[in-house]
Amino acid sequence: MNVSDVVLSCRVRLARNIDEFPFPSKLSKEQTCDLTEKIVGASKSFGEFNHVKISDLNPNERNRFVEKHLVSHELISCDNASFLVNEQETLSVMICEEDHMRIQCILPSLDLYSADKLSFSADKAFAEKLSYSQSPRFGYLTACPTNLGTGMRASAMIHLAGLTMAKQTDSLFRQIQKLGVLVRGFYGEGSAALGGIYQLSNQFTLGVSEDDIIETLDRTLNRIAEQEMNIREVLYQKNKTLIEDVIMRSFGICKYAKRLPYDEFMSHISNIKLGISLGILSNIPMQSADELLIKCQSASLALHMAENNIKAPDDVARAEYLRNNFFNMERYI
Amino acid sequence: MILCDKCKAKEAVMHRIIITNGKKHAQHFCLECAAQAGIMMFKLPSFAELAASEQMSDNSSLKCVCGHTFSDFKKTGMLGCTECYNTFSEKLLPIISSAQLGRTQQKNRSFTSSVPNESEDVVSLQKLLDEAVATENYEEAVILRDKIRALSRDKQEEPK
Ligand SMILES: [Zn+2]
Ligand SMILES: [Zn+2]
Repeated sequence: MNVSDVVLSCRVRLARNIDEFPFPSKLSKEQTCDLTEKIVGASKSFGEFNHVKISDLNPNERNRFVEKHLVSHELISCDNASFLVNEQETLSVMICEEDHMRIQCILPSLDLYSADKLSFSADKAFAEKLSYSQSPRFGYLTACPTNLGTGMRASAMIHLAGLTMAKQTDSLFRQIQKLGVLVRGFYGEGSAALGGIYQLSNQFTLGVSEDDIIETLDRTLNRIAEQEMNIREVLYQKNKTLIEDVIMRSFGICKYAKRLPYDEFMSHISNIKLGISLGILSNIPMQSADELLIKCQSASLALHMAENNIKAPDDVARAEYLRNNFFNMERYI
Repeated sequence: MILCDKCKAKEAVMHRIIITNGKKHAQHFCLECAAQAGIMMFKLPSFAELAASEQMSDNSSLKCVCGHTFSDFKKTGMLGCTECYNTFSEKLLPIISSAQLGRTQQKNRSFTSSVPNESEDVVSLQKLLDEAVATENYEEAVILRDKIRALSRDKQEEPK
């Protein structure tokens, strides 16, 4: 078992605003166009980006980008907003969300240092063409003071199936919150994290350096990932039959169910990921399970249905998708 | 107490700002309704809340060049332009400080010139840090650790 069995993805996001323009909520339509053009123009010196306008997307297309964590939920509700995204979908720039720019790099597994490097090389390239709003005291000036200073929000998605089973997440989260690390659900909901997947991010942005933010979060994540891996092994050794039963039941349900509501799917995919990491479902690549996790979110699923002319309720379509695209492969067991 | 927009019964604990056609609307939900609707929310210390909790007797008519007033900020948690930071600096500073763990001076890597101002030395800071850790005062410990790091980094950069 290694860290990539536990940490799904990591992300570094930088909030930047451009001098001479008010923050997005005060921008006129003309100013938004003007500013967007400037930002898109500046991106050309750095690399090839697709410029996607929110107003050109239907609701499902909008939500799919959110489900891939490429843009925020807030962005897709702004009709004047748009975003840039590179072909590999590792780098994106949200334009006119809460701030003028949100440069973000998202990478699989735990690789915050690379995400930091990549987002900062983009940041540097933009800084050569655009004049960022900064002050000697507060650093990068942002629309909401929670992002002042570095403007940096680093985060990672971590799957805590074992610690959740062992009911140890509460005390763990209390500890790490003291270190300035925030814990949220899979898509930032305040409710219980579905499938034991949590998002961890830095709480503070001002008075700390970017290096400290990355270092603290990376260290915290590595420590938690280690605890998670240990507890998975311990749980399995102590309750072999029980754990195997839970995992194989989830596998069976995903393989044969005719309808699968979202919540239920999330807990089964969580068990399947756990089973893969423990070698119980050793033939399934973890990457396939992670892909499935995104593909079976509601909007991604709805788009798949529309593309293939499938008309069925969400939960029926989800079960069908699983049967046809994944669990029909007998060789997995 | 703000009531939940959906059930209109329970206390709203989740807040978000929606921007449509350049207009902002604040939405408030209780935990249950937010979870039910699968609404993606942040539960950061909301600035609007922090600002509202500050006893501000003068709902002053202070207005930024961008047209933003401080009560606009209290409603949305957002500022209108960079100049707002100057216009409302007096009122903003305590709010920023309480949300950023008492820190109000940036230490960004792009600003290498930022100097630790106090004549604090590493040894006495380390003592305080040990104390803070021993008493499980982690907030304090983080601040102290950062100070020590900044100091030792500057020392290393000094030519001998
Ligand atoms: Zn409610
Ligand atoms: Zn202003």
